[in-house]
Amino acid sequence: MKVSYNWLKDYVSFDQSPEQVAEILTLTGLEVEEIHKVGSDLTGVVVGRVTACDQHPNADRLKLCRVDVGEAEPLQIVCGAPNVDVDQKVLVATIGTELPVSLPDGSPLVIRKSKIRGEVSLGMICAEDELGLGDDHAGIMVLNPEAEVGASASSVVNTNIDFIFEIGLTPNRPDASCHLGVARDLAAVLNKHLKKPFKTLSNPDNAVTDHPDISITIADTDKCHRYVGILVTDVKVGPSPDWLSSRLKSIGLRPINNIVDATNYVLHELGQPLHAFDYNLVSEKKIEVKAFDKERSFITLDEVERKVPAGSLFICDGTKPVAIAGIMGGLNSEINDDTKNVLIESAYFEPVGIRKTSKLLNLQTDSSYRFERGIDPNITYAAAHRCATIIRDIAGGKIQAKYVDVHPVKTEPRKVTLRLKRLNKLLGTSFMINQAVSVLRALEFEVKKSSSDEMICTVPTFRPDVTDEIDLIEEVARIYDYNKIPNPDYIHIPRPEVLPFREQFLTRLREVARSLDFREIYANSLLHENTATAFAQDTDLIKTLNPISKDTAVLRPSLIPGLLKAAGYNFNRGAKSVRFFEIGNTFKKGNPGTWHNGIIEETWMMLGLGGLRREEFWFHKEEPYTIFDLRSAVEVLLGSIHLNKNIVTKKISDHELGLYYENKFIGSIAEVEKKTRDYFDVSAPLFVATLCVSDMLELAKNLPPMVYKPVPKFPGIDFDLALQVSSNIDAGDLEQTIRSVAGSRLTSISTFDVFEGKSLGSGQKSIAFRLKFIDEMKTLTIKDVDSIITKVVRKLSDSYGAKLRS
Amino acid sequence: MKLDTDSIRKSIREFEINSAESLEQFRLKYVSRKGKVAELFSKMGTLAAEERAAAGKVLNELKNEAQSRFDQAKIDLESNLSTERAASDDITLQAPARPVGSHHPLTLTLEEIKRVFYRLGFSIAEGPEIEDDFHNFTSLNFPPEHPARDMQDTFYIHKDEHQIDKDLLLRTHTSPVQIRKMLEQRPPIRSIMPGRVYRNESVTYKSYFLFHQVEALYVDKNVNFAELKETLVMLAEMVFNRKVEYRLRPSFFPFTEPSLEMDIWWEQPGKPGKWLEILGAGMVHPNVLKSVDIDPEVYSGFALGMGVERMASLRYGIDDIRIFYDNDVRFLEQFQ
Repeated sequence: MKVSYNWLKDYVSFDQSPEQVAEILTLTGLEVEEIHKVGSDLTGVVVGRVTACDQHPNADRLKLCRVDVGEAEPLQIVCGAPNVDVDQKVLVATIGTELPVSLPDGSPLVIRKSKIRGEVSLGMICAEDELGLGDDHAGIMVLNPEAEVGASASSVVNTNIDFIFEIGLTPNRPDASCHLGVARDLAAVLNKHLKKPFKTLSNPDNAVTDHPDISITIADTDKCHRYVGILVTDVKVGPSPDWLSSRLKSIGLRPINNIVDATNYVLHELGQPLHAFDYNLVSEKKIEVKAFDKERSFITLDEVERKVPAGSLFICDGTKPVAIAGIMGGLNSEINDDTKNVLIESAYFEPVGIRKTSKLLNLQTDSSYRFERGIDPNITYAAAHRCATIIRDIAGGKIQAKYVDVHPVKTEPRKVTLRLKRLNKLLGTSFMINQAVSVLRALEFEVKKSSSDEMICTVPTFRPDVTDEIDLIEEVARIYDYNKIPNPDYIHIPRPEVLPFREQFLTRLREVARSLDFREIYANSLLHENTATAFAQDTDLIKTLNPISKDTAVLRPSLIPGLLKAAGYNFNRGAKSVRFFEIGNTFKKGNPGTWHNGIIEETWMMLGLGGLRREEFWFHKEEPYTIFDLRSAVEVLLGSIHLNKNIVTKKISDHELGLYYENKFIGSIAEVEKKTRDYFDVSAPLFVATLCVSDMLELAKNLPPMVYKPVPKFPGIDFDLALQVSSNIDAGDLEQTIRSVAGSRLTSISTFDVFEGKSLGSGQKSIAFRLKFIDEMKTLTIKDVDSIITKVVRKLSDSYGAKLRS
Repeated sequence: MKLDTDSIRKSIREFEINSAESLEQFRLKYVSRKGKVAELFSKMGTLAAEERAAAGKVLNELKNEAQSRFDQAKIDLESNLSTERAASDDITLQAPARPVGSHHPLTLTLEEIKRVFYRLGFSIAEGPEIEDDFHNFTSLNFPPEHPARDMQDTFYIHKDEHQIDKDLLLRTHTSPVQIRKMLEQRPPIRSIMPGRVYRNESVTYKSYFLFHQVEALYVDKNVNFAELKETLVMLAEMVFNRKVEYRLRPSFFPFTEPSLEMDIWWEQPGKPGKWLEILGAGMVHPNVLKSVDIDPEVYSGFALGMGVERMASLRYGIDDIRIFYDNDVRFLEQFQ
């Protein structure tokens, strides 16, 4: 919202600079996001007299002028204006002047000594628009012949410099959506009087409901609480005077004509949106405020035909709609050059209805912006009358004394009690009661002290946001300035809460993954439906009802698509390898649900790697990643959270291993299938492990605390076991069997050799394990482990047909 | 008779040893059992009995000197031997690259914020990303017609026909975790709530439809605005690791009153300084406390919230939010 610095001075007198005013407003809660300077003081522009005006020797359209600017020699200036002539008094921008207009590249126009078609030009004779004084570019500005040569431009024309504040208005402050409202906060901080541009809020003697010239009815009183109509007759429509058009232009509005401009002026002055109808185009002298139960087509005054949804509020005359209430008037009744009589509408429309219609039409106007935030229901008449007065002053005409005021829903001011103790306790301040009273009164609250601690405050109706005591406390604090609240002598020494186990666990996982050389990624949790269906049943997916696009319509059922996307992104940008992890939530339908019925929201961890494990180097050959690189990382990770001892790895398919804790599935390690990789444009091999953090967390929480184990006192013994088995036997099964049969003295197994070849015969392979045995009580000898080995070999032979190779 | 120990001692000391060959010659001549020192020992028998003890002492010294000269020369020679080297013995050859792990800059930033709050005695709480209307809006004092409930601002999962409270949506802030925390635990409460949130916004350099927030909640008896202010200043100084120039501006959030936003003065080389918003905060609205059955006449509280992306952007000078989710290794590797 734009607010003019000069305009504010109409309502409160102050000497503060624009920067100071901006700071004050910001600190009351009206954040000034930017300050723009508009206009110029025209330094360097002076009055000159054209002493000669000849044809430019080299250009038909240019004149070669000599202009006396009060210096010893007249200046030679090349001028292209058709109206330049000898003896005119003109405004001349001398060399070095910066004019308040911009070049196409945004830099200001600076006058320099130049040669135009071979002739020296020592300045510029200016048109109105070049001085920021108007839009006229038809010719140069010709001054009154009495203007004194050499005088500064600011002595002969209005230079109107102004500063425009761009205020980011929060939705709780509809009262500040106009200059008077902003001035009210400013006056309160500066402790100055607020000068209002109207005398009374109502004029009951002249208010009628039956008017001979206009009948107004409200059919939908839920949506329209009040409607005031004032007639101004015999006006003359024309351009607005300078003061009005320049005010509107300064806040970015385009002047239209004196009637419309007056309504816009009052909107920005008092915050009451108004509409002016050409009274003669209002058929049957009737205004009715009503909604239709069907969609209607309507042409608004911007000449756009709009489909207005059913239920939207219209202003209708005797035969047809003439405006969309609170949003925009209709083309059929707009003020035009022939308008003689004007009906001014000033109404209170209920915010929710306006907001709905505005959203559905995708049309926000200065008017709807204010109605949907809630305007003052009691300024209706004052604003209409203010507008009528301005119209009378600038467009002639006569204000009809009797006006219509239909007011079916009255808003009574709210009364709220403020306790001083409560205020001081909550703010940590020690205000005296009179300080609070004077702040609130400056903001136009009526305050009655009911005791030494209590104030009964009547809230002005332009402050719909103030409903409770706490709101009054905020009012006092914000006008006082938050930054002046005293620093407390102490704050309570906290007794820290214990960090939840979950937080400690997640931090640990993140730390371990990083130490295993994985990079953390943050992937998108909204996916394209086609992507998501590759990772879960369609019926399990959770979709948003209103996605921005199909690409982000479904909540991720898995973290794997995030890896694939990141891998594809990086491989396509020249990366040779990826090594990523992510911890995040996944979403699926299912019962009973985690937080909400039917929705399973779980935390998972993803570790993925792919591409080259090593690039070609003098030291080693190029080597791709294999699933074993990932498996070893996952094993270390599980070890670091002390879950590795009880986790069993089982084969799910030739490309996927499941991880189970006492038969409960907690995750998997897999090679990503080629067709999935192709979908994400990843050609390199890619491996991914996903672990259910929610489950691991529960398991880890129940583990006994870690206790130190003495290091072995006696040396162990290694035993190499080379087995010949059929090719289809899985090494993992052999290893599991060895572990389960060998007993507690077996401390580790290492698979040190795998081969197949003719010497073994076809369909056979050899796998060699190195078993390490340790006894805590004594030094083991080969004799001690012989019986164990015999047992192991027998079991392997029985279960898998394994033969011991010698 | 007298043994000629002096000349042998001299030659032991002066013998030039500069190669394996000369070392071997030295060994044969003075150290071996057939060498000159051993030869002198063998002549001991020719000495008079009273001379033997003194001569034995001298000979032993000579023997030790030869041995230690030999040992030292051997060590010196071996350490000088590596004059000829293979191409791959060049220790200035480039070392191979190795994979490096890293945390995402959002994690790093969040960890920094967590550390500050842990020092202030805060704990941490989490909640779901799919949330119901009650926790996300109603309990936080959003009136039923508040614009945030629009489909244009919020992603919905489920619209309940009968009860707006039961609508399911992607949480638009982490404040619902405050509600969950207050429903689960009576005051005093000191906790932060980090997490992922969603808004129905298009993707540009400064907006994304998901981002991360961290909020803090403190509810106890006698919590007041002045303490909030003190905490905010502490927080800003600890996060940015310097004294900050700040200002507090009144603002508006449905769930706090008074509400404020905090700006800090931000200067970058070559650019004019400016106020930059870093967080929003306020005293917990009495209606919010009431909605979780905490008596606002007995307890009061403050809450504050900030965007993790915004803090990370400020810390690292990042000017395009999208880069956080591209997961480009060339970006991520800068944070290892």
